[in-house]
Amino acid sequence: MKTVIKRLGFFFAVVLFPVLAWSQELQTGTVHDPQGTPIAGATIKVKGTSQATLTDETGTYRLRLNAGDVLVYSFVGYKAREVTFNNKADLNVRLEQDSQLLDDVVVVGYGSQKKQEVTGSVATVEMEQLTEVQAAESFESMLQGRVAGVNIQLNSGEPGATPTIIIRGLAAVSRDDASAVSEPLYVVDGVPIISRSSDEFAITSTNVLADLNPSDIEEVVVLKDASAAAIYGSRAANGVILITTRKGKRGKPQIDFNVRNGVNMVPQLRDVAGGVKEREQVLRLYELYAPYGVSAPGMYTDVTNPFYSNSSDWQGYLYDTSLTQDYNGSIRGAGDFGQYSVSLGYMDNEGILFNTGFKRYSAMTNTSFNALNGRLVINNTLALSRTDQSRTPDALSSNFSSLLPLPNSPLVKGADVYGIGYNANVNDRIRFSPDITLKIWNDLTYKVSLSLEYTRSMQDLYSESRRTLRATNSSGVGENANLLFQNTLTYAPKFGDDHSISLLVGQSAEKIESKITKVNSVAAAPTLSHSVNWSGNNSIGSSDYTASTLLSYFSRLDYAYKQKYLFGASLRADGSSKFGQANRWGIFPAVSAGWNFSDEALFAGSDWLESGKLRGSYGVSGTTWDNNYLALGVMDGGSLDQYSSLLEISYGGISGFTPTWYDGFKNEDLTWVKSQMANIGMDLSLFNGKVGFIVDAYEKLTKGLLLTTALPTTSGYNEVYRNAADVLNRGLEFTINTSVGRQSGLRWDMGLNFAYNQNRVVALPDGNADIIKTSTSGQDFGSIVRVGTPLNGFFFYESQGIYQTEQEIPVNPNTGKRLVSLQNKKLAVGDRNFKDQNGDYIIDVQDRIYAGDPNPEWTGGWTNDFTYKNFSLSVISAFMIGRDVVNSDVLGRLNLGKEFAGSGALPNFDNYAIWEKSGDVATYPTLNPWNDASQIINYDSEYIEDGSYFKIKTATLSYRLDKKLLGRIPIDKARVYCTVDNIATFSRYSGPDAELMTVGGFDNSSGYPMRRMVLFGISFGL
Amino acid sequence: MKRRQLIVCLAVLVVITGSCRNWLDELPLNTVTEDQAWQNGSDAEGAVAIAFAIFRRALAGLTKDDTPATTRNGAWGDHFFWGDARSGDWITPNNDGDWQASFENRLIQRTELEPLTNWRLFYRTIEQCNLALEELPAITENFSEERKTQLLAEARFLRAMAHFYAARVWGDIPINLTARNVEPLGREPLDAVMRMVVEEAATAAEGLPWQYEGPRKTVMSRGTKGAALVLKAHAHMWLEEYEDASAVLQQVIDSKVFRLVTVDEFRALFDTGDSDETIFHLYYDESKGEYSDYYGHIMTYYLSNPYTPRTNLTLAVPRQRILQIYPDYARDRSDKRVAAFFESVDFSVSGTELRPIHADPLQNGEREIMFAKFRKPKDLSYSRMDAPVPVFRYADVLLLKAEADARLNRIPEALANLNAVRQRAGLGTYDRIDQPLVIEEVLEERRRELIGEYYRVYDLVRLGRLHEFNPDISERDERIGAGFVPVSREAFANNPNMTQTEYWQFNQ
Repeated sequence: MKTVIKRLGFFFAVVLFPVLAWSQELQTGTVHDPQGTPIAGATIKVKGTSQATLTDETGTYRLRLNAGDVLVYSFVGYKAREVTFNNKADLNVRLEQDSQLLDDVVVVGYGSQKKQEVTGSVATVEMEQLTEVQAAESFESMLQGRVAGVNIQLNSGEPGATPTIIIRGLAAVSRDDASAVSEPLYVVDGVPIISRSSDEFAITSTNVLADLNPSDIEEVVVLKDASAAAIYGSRAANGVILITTRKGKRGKPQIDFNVRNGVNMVPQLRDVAGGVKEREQVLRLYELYAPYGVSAPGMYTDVTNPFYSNSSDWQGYLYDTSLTQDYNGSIRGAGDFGQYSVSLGYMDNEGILFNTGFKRYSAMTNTSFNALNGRLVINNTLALSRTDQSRTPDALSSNFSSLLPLPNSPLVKGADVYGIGYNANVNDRIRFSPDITLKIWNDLTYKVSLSLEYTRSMQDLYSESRRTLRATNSSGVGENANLLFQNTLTYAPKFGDDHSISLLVGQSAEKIESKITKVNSVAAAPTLSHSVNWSGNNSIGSSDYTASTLLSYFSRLDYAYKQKYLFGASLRADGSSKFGQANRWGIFPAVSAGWNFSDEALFAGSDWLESGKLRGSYGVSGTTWDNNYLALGVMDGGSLDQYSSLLEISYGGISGFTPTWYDGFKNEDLTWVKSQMANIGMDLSLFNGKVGFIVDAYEKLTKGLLLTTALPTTSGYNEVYRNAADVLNRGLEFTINTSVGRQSGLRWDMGLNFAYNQNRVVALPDGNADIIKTSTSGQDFGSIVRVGTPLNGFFFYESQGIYQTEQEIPVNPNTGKRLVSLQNKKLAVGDRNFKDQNGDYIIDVQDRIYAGDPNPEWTGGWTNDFTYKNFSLSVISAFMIGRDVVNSDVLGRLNLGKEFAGSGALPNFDNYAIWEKSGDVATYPTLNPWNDASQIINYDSEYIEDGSYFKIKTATLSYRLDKKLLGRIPIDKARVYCTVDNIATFSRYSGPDAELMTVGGFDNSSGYPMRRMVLFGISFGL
Repeated sequence: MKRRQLIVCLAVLVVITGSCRNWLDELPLNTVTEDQAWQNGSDAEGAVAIAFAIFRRALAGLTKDDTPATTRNGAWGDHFFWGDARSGDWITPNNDGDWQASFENRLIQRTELEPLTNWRLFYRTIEQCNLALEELPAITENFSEERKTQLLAEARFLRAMAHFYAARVWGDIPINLTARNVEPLGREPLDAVMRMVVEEAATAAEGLPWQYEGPRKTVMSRGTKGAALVLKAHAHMWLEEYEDASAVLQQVIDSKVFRLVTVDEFRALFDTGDSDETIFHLYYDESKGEYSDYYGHIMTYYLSNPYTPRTNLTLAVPRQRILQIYPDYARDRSDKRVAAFFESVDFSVSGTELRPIHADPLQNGEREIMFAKFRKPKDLSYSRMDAPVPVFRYADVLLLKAEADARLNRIPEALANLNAVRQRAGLGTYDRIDQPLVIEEVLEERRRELIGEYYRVYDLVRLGRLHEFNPDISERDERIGAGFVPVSREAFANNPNMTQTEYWQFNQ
């Protein structure tokens, strides 16, 4: 019986199908995007039937159709289109991009919002556009000059160095001389990540974020104002950077490769007096200033010794052109089952200085599975990465005397005498974050996410001194672990077309642990070993552990009426283990409102105004500090002294705890650093989106920055931490985007952004008394925090030139004693003439005056993209205006001590106006190395310079190979390009590079200039 | 259905919240917080012991680890600078500029001398004692009442001791008797400080035993009744309350806990402190890991080869001065102390070998006699320097009582104690009965007996007689405080009530 039915079925199939098919004709059509590029994978359905098909790679599809059939064309990212089939022409369709879907959703804290409904100050950067035209180790460096008010400085030329990012002005201060940076919070796919290690727990100095491969990032969103950031509560005061990684897209699997190779070229290096010039300079200094009986070392006087008759170009020897390689590959796709994305990356950026470089290995997989008809989405992200930074063991030094022979000289052949050793810095990160989203019913979504993140950094250092033959060997491991558990519930009901409302409630619990283990040994004889030998007296090991937890409840409400009147509010409560019971919880509220005025009737029919929005917000967010146990009053069990003796630890064999005299005692009053920020802004889009204009004005008051104030010595304590300084940052931000030309012809896209910021300390405790910071460098004096001046402001001695005659040195009429200069220096002709501000005839800390502001007034960027047919050229510039800096690099090199001869290279004195004899018009006072106290100091108002610069950072010329050119090669798209990085800098700064500066305005180049890079690359997709 | 799902979700949230109650309690693993630090008896033991350790470092001198205001890498042995350097008896044979400056009372000009003007570690000792006195009473776990009384008394003793020592160095000093006191304290008159020391030492003595179980060296490195009483007596001496001083010292003598050891037993007394003569010293012991190396011990500067690698002497008493201080030795070589305190090294032997010591302690030239009262093993290294830092010993008690009695015109009593010390040194009895002569002789005997033990300058300053022995200090200078050490600049930070000693205001 069964066979009969089967056969009948076969019969009907064979006989009847052609009959049915006859009434419908097989038709062929194509689907293109507005630029005329074929769309592969677009769905075409015949309305009212189950007939459907997909387009192939050339955008072609085939369907059997009857006249009058209605075809529905759809593709992700494009507006669906219905076409009634009447004749063949109807079958070739162009789909319009759906801006509502693609561009207009912005990722915000714990969710996303329609761009039109956003009320906070939020900036989005599409990373793919950046990675095409820029090459950098880390995504943050690529953001430089892209977002108004986000000041990014690549302040070291060393591969793997950490750029500084300051959003809307500096709001951090350190207790000592070092300049603190107000770090934003980094959130990857909804999970806050470890972005740095606190100083005590940092093993390597490698940029922690450099292990995120920029090619894996879809977009970066910067939450600048409080209404956007406050939902991240206690860590959001310095802004939040949301990173969304790339996911698979519907259509056929996308396989992409990007390969680039290039060279790093050595820019201009330090000026060095070589050979005879160095000899002359040294002998001249001895002739002029050496005390009786002191004569120059033999290497300068013994001209017959071939070992010292060199003119070695150490920089030329140690700096060399190097290679950069960058390879990225990925496969991504999506369907009804979910999506997948797998990517691999390898970057090797050799440094221009011998022994330096940076490598990154990264792997990331992201998969989502849809279940229960799409009501349940399970998402897994696993990211693995390693960065490997090599450094020179002796702190990047290339500063050897030019009289010494180079290692490749026959004189020293075979003896590797300089800078033996290695300094390997390896950072590993593993991050696994699964999350589950359940649509409980239409409007209600529940999401639970868990994230485990582990970073490990290792440093192995071995260095050998050629002078003493002592070897230092150290090894350290730092580990961070981050556990996060997060639950959110989103309710977004629809009440008709006029109202849209969205309510979010959530909870998160987070634990961050850090551990460090270090061992080191100093061996009298070289031991060429990677392992640290635990040898008797001179090896000391240490380990430390710290942990903090955070428990948070948060909620946000967004309401829009007719998409015209917008309102948002958020509230977060954070509890932190860092505080005493009383101050444990902090509340961080924010409110915002927006008005899409372009939707008002007034502007109806206006052809120039596409959209316009006014925004306003106010909110409170916070920050804490690194020391997890500060408020609890950590006790100190003492440590071994320099001879490994227990003198500080025990007495008569009994050990005990004392307070840590530097951090004060248990302080339940310590509380959150809270930042109150008000923001008003306007977004305008004109002439069909050809011109975009964004302006924001903000005022950010950061209250209670943690600082130590000195306690009277009679208390026993050195200092106590307090929520001491209030800092106000005020600023304006402007962004202008224009797009000129047609898609097919010449097109010019321009983006210009610039931001003004003013930084002021507005309140200090004890009646606004100055806080003089602890100096870690001993002889120098710590900087001052003073009301009315900016953070890191220069408090310098006021230079009045140089004493040219004895008579110029002031004499106290009451005592007959001469003015005493710094460090009780007896002044002489040729010394710096500092102004004795308080008239006590002693130059000391009291005579410092406010002399300059290292915080930039204006920062910004300017990008230009030109496209003509398949060619495109992109030029990226960044600038900074109105900043005071000090060329401490040259000051350090001119600051000569008694042992200066032979210890290093000297600058060519001819290039500097140095005082030698009465009447010299000089910038620099006498270089007498035998002076009681050096006359060359950083804190001298004479040396303050304008640190403004304009930099053409990167230019990329690329050519897109189209299908015709590729012919039969099974490649969908391909692109060849050339990128030049660090093209030109325009500045008045006398030092190597006005960008290589610490946050505090001192030169940070330390002999490692920023390389110039030329890269050639090809990227293609299958 | 939907409602049930919502309820489940809310229930999950509630459960999560509930389980997070202890989530926010994070405590350090490798140290303790203040709340954890005062739990039981062993915490209390540690807290008081560590206060003595701070005081030990205070006497050695602070370093840049203690305060960033100084640049000194390691301690120099500041107790010598304060107690002996300016007595006029010392020279620096290798012409060390810093030591020479300190002999000449030039204590402000040189950066390297700045740390010895800084009293920070004294007040750190005081604060640690204040914390112990505040926290200990509440501790009950594994802490007997008897032990609690003792430890509280020890903290009280050490607090008074630190004030006393600082007052001898700086003169008028701030008094801090409360924990966590961050008020800017001004300087109190020296008399008020000594008055406080008298009262506090008396209170402490009540709670302290004469002796604890254990070796002498350990026992006498802590607060005992003897140490507290001697402290009280010293304070009485500063207050010129000789009757009280004499009475208190008599108590110490009557206790029979201490005795004058023989000259042959001096090595134990000075090199280890394990001696019946020790009353209070600061503990060092290489075997317990509590030792000094190059920095941190005055022996670095006293000793040379064969004890240390040093080939010359940094600190010494010139030969003529030795003969002047010890006239009996100059006359007939009778004073055994010269051979016990001084050595002549055979400098003709190479510095890389252990140089022999001449049989005659004064064989060498004027500037070549090594002060060898405190010694370490002969090994040409700076390591294992663990001689204790003496504060009080029995000979000091006898001579102090002799001075008090002499001033009270009780000459026989004075002579009895004076002669006990003289007798040990192998000298004949002193039998003059003229009061000023006896007082003078007692002072000279103190100089002979206690040389290099940080008494001499304090004796002279107490009596206002430093100018007689130090040619760089005039009588007028001494009247306005030249005998005291200047107050460091750091003490003025955040303290409007701080004042500089009058002399040092004008002698920067």
